[in-house]
Amino acid sequence: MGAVPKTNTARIDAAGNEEQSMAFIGKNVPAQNSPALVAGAGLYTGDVKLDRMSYAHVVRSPYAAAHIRAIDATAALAVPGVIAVVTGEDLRAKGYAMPVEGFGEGVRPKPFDLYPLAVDRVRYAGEGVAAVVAEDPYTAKQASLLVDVDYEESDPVVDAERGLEPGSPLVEPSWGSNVLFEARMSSGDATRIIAAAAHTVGGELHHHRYTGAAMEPRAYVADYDPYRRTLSFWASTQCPHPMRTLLGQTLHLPENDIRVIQPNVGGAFGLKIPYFQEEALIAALSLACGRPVRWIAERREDLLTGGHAREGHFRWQAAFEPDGRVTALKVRYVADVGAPSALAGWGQSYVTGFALPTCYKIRDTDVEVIAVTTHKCAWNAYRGFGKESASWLMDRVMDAVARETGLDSATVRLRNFIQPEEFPYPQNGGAIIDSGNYPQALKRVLEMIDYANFPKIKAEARAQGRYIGLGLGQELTPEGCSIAGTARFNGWDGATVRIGPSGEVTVLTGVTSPGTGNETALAQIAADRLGIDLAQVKVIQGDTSICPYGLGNFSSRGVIIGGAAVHVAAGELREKLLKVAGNMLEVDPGDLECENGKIMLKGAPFRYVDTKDVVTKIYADCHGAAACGVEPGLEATRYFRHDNVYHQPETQGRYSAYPSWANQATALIAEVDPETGLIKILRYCAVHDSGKVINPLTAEGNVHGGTAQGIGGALYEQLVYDDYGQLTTTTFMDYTLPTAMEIPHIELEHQETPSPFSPLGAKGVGESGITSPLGALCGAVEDALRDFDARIDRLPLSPERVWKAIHAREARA
Amino acid sequence: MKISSNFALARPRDEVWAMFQDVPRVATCIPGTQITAAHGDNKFSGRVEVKLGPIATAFEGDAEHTPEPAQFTGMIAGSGRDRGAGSRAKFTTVYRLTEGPSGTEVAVESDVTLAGAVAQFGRTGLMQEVTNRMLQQFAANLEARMIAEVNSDAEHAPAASAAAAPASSMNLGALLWSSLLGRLRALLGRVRARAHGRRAEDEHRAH
Repeated sequence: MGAVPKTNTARIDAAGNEEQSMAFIGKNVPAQNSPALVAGAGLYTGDVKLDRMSYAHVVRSPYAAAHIRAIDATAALAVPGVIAVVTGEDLRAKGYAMPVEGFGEGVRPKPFDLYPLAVDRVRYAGEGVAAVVAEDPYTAKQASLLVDVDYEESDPVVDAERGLEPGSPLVEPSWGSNVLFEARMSSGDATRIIAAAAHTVGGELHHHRYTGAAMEPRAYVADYDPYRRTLSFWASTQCPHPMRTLLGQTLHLPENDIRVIQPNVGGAFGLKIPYFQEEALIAALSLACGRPVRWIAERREDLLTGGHAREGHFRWQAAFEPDGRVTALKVRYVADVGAPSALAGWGQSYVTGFALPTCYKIRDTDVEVIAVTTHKCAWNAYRGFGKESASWLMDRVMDAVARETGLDSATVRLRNFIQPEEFPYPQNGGAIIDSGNYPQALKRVLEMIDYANFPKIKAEARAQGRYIGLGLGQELTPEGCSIAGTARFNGWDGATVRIGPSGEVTVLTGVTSPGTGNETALAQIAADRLGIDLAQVKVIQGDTSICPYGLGNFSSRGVIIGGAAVHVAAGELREKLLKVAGNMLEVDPGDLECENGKIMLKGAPFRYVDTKDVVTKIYADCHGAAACGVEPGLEATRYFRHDNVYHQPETQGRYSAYPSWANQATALIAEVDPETGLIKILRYCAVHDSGKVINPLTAEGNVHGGTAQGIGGALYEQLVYDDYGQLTTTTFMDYTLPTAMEIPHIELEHQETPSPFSPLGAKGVGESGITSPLGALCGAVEDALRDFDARIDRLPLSPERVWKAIHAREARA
Repeated sequence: MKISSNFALARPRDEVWAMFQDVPRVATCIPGTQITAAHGDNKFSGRVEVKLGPIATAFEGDAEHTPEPAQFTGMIAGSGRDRGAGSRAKFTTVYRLTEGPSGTEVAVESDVTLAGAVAQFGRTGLMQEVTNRMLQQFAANLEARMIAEVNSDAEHAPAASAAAAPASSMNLGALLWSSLLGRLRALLGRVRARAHGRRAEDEHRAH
């Protein structure tokens, strides 16, 4: 391990280091976008109405694996109102290949061809084989049933482990195997230590397949206007600019002919990161038909083809000391990433390996990641992005060591944590963990849940015939990722801050909001930087013709990268304002501060000018004495790149894609009904640390949402495929989401350990909370069922599985 | 998906066997089933309609019958396509007739593969129950028809199949309801009232 590089020089200011107004940062400010969303006045892609609109319906393969022998569209084309039927072959003939991006040097899928519709063969049930465009959506759908596709079925690969066996059918025959990507991340000599250790423990863990289910399914409207040479593309997406780049590459259009607009997005969770086949398809259909084309996924289509996540199998082994310290860890992770695609989901398998051993100081680790392609829906990014699996594994390792040593789970974690004084900490995978105080967070959450008293509470419950248990979940969530060589995932973003002649401030940003409220945080940052009222700030996102190029929304980057760009751009305007104000007040600009709409002398606030008057000087008096020394105009576009990222292993000895490391300690108490296996969460306590919190209200909203999805994943949600590669959970009757009835009250506190690397010390918060329910629930269920020696090594914790775990000992006997 | 069912007919085996060799005639006894064309060589085209609550399926396709008279067994294999939802189905059904105490025992084993939208019904044992109930109705129709034909033969009258239920589209809404009630009763017998039984989790691929 090399020395930790110095913190960056481009750092602007850590929290409180530079004097600036903090009137809004750190305050509970209701999200600016919320009133419209709550009032039902949100404008979504489905609300886009255009003259001559046409409607697309996708003909989808009923088979998971099949050769397409022929497609006959004669009957469909004869239906009145049908405008066109397009097949994969038509798109291939136009050269509309979809670019498939890797995940940095050496981390990429093996090569394959991808088109917006299947060509020659289908690779998962539901893959589009043709599309019908018609005057109305009903005609499109009815006619799509008349498209006659002649398939020759073949045996699908539906299980990753079996897909690795010799003789298995192949998803991509040219690869010679079903391995899409594999990597080994080793540090030290785990194999030798484990072989020589006096104490070892190991096991297997299986994470099931599930996904984020946005209320708004995927939706696109494409309108190609050949006279104005503009493709307008409205999309329920997270990443308008990268979408523009990708559409340009696929359709051979210059990027300045494309305008991508992101209306309100009704939930995204990573799953609306491009590049879906339907995104390229709908744009291509508009080009082909010369008409606006609309497509909105049906629920079944979205569950079938909208991107899945998770589903992986761990085999692990650890060496430990009798005092609970883990000395080495070996992991083999086989991930079932579904069909090859242009989505980034498969990269989650890599991140799981990269994030290990999370917040623990285990120097000797050996992690093998094998991403296996199967005839199932491709993974797309889903909140957690593989980090959740890493933290879940570590929770299970810590609980296993506690069981083996007879120590309690909290003690084992406390003995293995990276200590607060050891930050910035170079983690085994190459990352620099910026900051944290894991012991403090865990100790605080133990206080909240009254850990010391729990054995008594548990004994009392047991005396009443009830089985309750306490479980711990420790999550580490690297955020703000920057991946070398991708159009989509670089760690920079742009912001334009503009002060108009009347003093109002407009922020244009490359980051977008999927409804999480980051626009409000950006406004808070701009308002405080300029010392003005929040009400004067308007944030505009999600339009490639208006906003500076930026990468949109993923990896909780809205504040850490987008917010920093706003901070820098507003800072540039601030300097200009102070300079002119200094001229007006005849003082050194360095002695001025701005606050509350005024620019005043530090320590002598009665000497001030109204910020608005300074703006007027710049706009209306550009040759006057006060403003003639500055460039006219009040607009700054600046870009920010996070510096705690390392992409040059040859010079720095490390590759790290993640600059910002949020974390959370969770403790929960759950009750298990031993007769039915039903789990009820009685208490849920968490201490969350994402550095400086810009807006506690929206940050809490993010953690609550993440927690609900984590509980849903641990207990209720599962995408089930049958042996033929048919998805059998294609409605919300079968894919069961938790409701307010299932989610307990969340007792949440924030701990602030500012990042030394980012302006304002903020870290990402968008993925927080989704991880710790997995480990905490497994721990709580095992604790509750100690009498039965029940072991949990598989999710979800459905009543049936828990019941079986209760009776497993009898079965073994 | 493998589905096994048994039923008994109060008719002699030879008579039942003879009946089974007349596929179009047997088909009229299967709820919702219709033979639309006989191509010779035991090859047929047909249509099966099943309503499952609000979902109506109508599979059209081809089947081939391969009898093994020496063993009183036969195989029917076919595939079909539901244009209403773009689903496809394949099946292989093997029937075996044995002589029972009160007539003929019929064992039916099917292997059904569903693809497309209809595949979701392959979960949770629902198909097995629906098939069982369909076969019960089939057996009743068949028996009624055989008895009616024996009687009408005796009277040299034209085939009076009025006793047989019309082979109209089978409404499994009602069937499903009774099936669900049966499941619910079984569940309530096992589970205490406090379990609200929210998630009938599918453990199909669990172990």
